[in-house]
Amino acid sequence: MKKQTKYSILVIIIAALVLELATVQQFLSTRRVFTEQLLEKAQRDLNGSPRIAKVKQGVEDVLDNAMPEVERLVNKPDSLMKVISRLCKDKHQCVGIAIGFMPDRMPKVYQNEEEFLDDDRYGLFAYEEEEKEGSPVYEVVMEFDYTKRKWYTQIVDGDENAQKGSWTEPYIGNLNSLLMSSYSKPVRDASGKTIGVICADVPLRELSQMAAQLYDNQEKALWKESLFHILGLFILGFIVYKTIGSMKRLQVVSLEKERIAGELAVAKNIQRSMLPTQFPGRPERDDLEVYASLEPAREVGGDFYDFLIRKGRLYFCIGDVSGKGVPAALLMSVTRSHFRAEAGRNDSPTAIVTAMNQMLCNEQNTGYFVTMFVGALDLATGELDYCNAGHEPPCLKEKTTGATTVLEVLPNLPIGSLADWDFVGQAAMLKPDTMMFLYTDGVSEAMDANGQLFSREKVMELIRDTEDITPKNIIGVMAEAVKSHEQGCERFDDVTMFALHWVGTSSDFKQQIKIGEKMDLCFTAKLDELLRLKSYVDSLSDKFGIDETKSLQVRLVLEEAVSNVINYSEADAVDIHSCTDEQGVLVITIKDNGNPFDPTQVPSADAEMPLEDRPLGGWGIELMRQMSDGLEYRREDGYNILTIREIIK
Amino acid sequence: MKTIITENNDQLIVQFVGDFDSLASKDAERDLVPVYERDCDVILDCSQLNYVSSSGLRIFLSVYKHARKNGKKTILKGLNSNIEKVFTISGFMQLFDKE
Repeated sequence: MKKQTKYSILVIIIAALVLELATVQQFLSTRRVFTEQLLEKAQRDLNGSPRIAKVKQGVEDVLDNAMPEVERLVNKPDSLMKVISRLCKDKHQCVGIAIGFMPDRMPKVYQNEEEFLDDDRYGLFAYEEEEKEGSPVYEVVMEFDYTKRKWYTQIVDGDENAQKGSWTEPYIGNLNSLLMSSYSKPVRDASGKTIGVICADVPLRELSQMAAQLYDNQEKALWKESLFHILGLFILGFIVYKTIGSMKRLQVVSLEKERIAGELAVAKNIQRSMLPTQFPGRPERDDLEVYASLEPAREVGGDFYDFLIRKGRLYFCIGDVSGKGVPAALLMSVTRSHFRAEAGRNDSPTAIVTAMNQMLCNEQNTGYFVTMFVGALDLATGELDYCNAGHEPPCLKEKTTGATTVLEVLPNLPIGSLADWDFVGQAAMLKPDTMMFLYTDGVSEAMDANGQLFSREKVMELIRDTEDITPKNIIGVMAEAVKSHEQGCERFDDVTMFALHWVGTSSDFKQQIKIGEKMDLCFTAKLDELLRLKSYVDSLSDKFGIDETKSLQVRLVLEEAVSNVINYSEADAVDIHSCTDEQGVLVITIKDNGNPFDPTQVPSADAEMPLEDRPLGGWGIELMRQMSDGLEYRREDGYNILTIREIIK
Repeated sequence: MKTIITENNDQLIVQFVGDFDSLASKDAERDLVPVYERDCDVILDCSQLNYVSSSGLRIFLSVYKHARKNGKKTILKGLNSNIEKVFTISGFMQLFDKE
């Protein structure tokens, strides 16, 4: 996670740098294009501007027209000076006219002039002091080295085209500090050989102003652009800073999310393990079969079911806490614990519901409430006591006739709504071989993509049409139908179902035992299950002809042995196997998967010892010793195996 | 099992009806709360008691302890032979007065 964040920050920084580089690159290329365009425009103006073109043409014409006279007078310095002086004066666009001779082709006449210099240069120059009409014209001999000047070199060193006359690039004049351009042409002698260069200086005041302004504008534009650029940098930095902050926060949030998801997964397991998942049914017993399923819409949910068998009655409930998710799940676990406690001591469903209602009202004031159905079925007679607290009415189906009905229920209020509500209970007689189906509104209100509900009618219809009414099958069929109805749409509520199939009185159980067969009993290691021990021993006694006194002794030994397992060994399951050996001795084997515990090694209780000092369970083991005719223990493959012998003949 | 408590001449008569097994002892413990709140002789009427296991014996013992603490007697009444055997084996017969 941390690594990922660092990686992401690096990516952002690289992206910012690339963006920045691109901007710089664009800035530079824009400036280059801008400059190029500016120069191009200046060049175009120089060549193409009508006004400048007119000036240029005028200067070219003057020089071209004066050329024959100049070339005729090359050997007469005084006359030549007068000609250029006149040209300068006449044509005021020209601020100066110069003639520079080539040192090696210098007419002889100049070599005698006193200004003739040692390096063989000689040139005449006429110029105006100011660029305006009537300004005095000075006539001088050029003292500077004109052979290095552009106007000179472009003719002397230039190609044939340049020889016809060329304009120089703009330059700053020496005398008047003006931006100038010069037009120069070769001066030839009578034989047509170039002996020097004549040049006219033209000031470019107008052009220079325009160029200056253009450069000035560009500077201003660049300044603005730079400002924007810096501003952009700041914003970019700010964005990067903020992004890094967000990513750090995101990291914290996702860690938190992961933690919550982990805790929810644990909570889901805890909640699942709260509800019973081992159901009474074949082969352990054939008078009753129970099955249930709960599929929460989220990790944890507010639906629940529970059951326990006490005093020959099956206490069962199904419930739905209003709301969803963690709050509902918390209240669900509280409610379900209350049911366990209340159903363990109250015989009537109405009393259970009333007690739960009061506790829930006293404990919480959050506005949550619980719809619930609580029933108590007498497994011997089929008498059903029940109390409904705002829950969906259960459905009943008789196997023999196929009659499918909805159990008549009073609505009452959901529990947890009003502390002093007077819950009214009801009763019904179930016929043998009846299936009872309970569900939460997650079943009837399951929605398809069009918002169509699954509906109670559909529930009834499915039950009516399903031949095999074993609880597991009914719930399987219903779950499948709900799933196909939902068509993969998101589930909004927990889907919970509970079904029981009451076959009939447990006398059927007795009738199935035939003489000469062994008898087995398996049950989960719960105290409530001890109830079945009595009917098992009764059946044993019937089968093997055990008299009442012995029967009570066998029951006592079995109860003591099994309670020890349940209370102290942490076993999940206990198997009891009974048969007679060749001598007609009843051999009962009790097998459990709990911690190793050998009851035969517990010291005998000393009848003289004060009762309160005796070891825990000591009496029970003493009773087992005294009431049986043999007690053996062995540990085998992780099982405690206790063999009890009873002489019954 | 049912536990029925009646009062007679400053004596509490506790009648047990049915089977006093592990499951019944839970209910009995709750039903006997009024006995623990009183300070008088207690008669434990076992004439309708069919069966008792060690968890039932524990309840008898706690009633006995409560009475002895206050210098009162606990009297056993109407034990059948099966129950008596259980009481004898566990040494309980010596504790209680018999009627």
